[in-house]
Amino acid sequence: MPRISPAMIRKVASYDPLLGLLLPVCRTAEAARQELHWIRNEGASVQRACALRARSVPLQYVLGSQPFGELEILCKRNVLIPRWETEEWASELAARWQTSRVTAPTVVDLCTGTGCVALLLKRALPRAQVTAIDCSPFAIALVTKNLHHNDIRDVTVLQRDILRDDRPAIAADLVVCNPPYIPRDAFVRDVTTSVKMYEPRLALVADKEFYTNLCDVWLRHTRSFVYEIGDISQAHFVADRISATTWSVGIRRDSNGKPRVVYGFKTDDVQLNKLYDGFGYLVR
Amino acid sequence: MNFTKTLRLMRNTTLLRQPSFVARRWSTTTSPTIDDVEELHPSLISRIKQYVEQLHGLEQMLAAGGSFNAASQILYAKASSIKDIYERYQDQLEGLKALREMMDDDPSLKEDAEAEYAKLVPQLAKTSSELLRKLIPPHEFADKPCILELRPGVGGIEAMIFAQDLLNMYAGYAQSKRWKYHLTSKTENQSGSGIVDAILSIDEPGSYDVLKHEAGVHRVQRIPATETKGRTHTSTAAVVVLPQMGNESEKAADAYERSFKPDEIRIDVMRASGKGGQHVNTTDSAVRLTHFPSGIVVSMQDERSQHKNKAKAFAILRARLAERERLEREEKERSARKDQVTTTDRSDKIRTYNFPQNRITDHRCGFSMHDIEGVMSGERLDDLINAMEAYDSDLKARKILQEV
Ligand SMILES: C[S@@+](CC[C@H](N)C(=O)[O-])C[C@H]1O[C@@H](n2cnc3c(N)ncnc32)[C@H](O)[C@@H]1O
Repeated sequence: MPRISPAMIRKVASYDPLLGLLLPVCRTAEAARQELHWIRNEGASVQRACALRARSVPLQYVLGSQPFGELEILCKRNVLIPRWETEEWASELAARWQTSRVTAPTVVDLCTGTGCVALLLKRALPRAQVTAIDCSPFAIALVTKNLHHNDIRDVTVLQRDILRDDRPAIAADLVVCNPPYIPRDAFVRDVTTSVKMYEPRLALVADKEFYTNLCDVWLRHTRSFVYEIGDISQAHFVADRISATTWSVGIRRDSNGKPRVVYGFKTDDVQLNKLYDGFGYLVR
Repeated sequence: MNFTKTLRLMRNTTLLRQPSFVARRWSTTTSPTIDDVEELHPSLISRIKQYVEQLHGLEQMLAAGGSFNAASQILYAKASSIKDIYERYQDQLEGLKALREMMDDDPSLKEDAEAEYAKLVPQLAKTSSELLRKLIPPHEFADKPCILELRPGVGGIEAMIFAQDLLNMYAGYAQSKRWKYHLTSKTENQSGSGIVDAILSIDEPGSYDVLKHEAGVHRVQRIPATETKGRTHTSTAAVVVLPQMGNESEKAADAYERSFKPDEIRIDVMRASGKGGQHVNTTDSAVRLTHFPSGIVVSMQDERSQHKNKAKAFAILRARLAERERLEREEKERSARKDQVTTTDRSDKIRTYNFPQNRITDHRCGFSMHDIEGVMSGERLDDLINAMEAYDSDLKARKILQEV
């Protein structure tokens, strides 16, 4: 990252003081301009928005939303902001299920947060039975708001701690999950200031708990799964823990080239073999 | 008396050599003398008769209780106006023939007849020019809405400011016509005034046809605000006019995207380095499309939504491909005809906006006017557009005559 000197800030601020506020958080003059354009477009109070941005408050909290596929997802503090990487795999996944012959799959979205993945799938597959689960009351409240905001009905929303709750799980065709995946030590080292300061730790920090939970609990109740990962070791962890005789496991990269998803399906399922063909590369 | 007689004989001999008044030369600029009666070529007449027949067909269909679809409505309107003008043309031509006979046969009426004749000749010329324009085949994108791409050319910041001025001009023009338009994207100059590029979409069907001649290099001459010695600077901006072939909706883009083979197109998303995912929360929504067969690259970063940026980028790609194919087709036809007809080079300046003189000149048609403010606000841009349109349809009409 280029260092931003006070002189540069002064220079940019001389064109427009608001740009001076945005520059440190946006890093480049071009990004600052782009962001100012978005802030103006959104009809937000520009002064207030820029002042908040200068304090590293995420743009999505300032403007109150984040586009996600064709949806507009409302964003609030205490709930993680949807990322483009998630949008990317969720959109591709939705397109694949849309063209498959299973028109009314049962889908469970664990760690749903804003509900973005659950809503995107429900929008693409109107006949799907979608359940969205999160342990955070803030998330649960926001999912309900988002359903309403996007005019989507018939999604079951459950508040549960999936690591502790041992109520019988739902039999599903697909379990999706973007679990917290940043190990404690990496949190301090690799996470950007804005994320650290303003997004909930509960949504971010975990090691392998959720992948263990996948292997030990959810695998028994589903025909396929798609989990986001932050590091390739998490994919290998799943691949190694899973029965090689019944499951095919693959890794999908995001368009930045980073391993982003571990996915799997029952090897003997012809339909699912076809559905996931080319989604990533199989490792098992 | 004798003298007149000889003259008449001479006239008759020319008439004998040219039994029907064969079109000799087409020109609307020279005013015709009495001998300049220009009758339309038979092949044009037969084209007109086709329209008249089609019109009768449509009328019969209506009488039989049928109804029009959009296409037949357009045809009906066109054919009936052609028929009207053609009837006027026939009347005027008949009139001329009758007057000539009168001039030739009845010396007592000669003077009146000649005056009458002289009045009617330019009227006929006007009518046949009107008719010719109607017969010019419509532009293949005539009914399309359009997209204007603006970019500064030479002249640094002044060029960027001028590009912004042109953007305002076209937006103002659309507004004055009550056309729907929207700014698809705009990149402002980082260091203050002007723009680096902009894309303005004008959603009115048929706006392509109106604005197509705006494409090219526009030149401005003015004294920059920062210029202390009062020197006039010259800078340029380029305008590209594209047809809107679909819309920017995400559904249309998805369908269009699927029409390409996977190896024809690459979609890049421009992302920062680093771990990504939950580690960062910046808005990274920029999209870049590369279309390999044509080498066209479209970048879009106007929206916070990557999905929308992609949809917009595909709309632009589609428009650029359509325009490029049209130009290539045109080029092929032209070389097949060994056509030398004035084609403007795309690097030629089409128009100059001279601020000190309050003057705008279109170099293609030679039209000048003195109202910079009126034009730059869009209010009086029509004066230039109409002048160019008249010039262009004249050229085309001339070409039709050459081809028959
Ligand atoms: C990384 S966020 C993902 C949010 C959303 N799916 C997305 O992609 O934007 C992880 C979510 O998991 C939830 N979570 C953390 N621990 C959980 C647990 N034990 N049981 C259920 N949900 C949990 C957090 O509240 C947070 O909303």
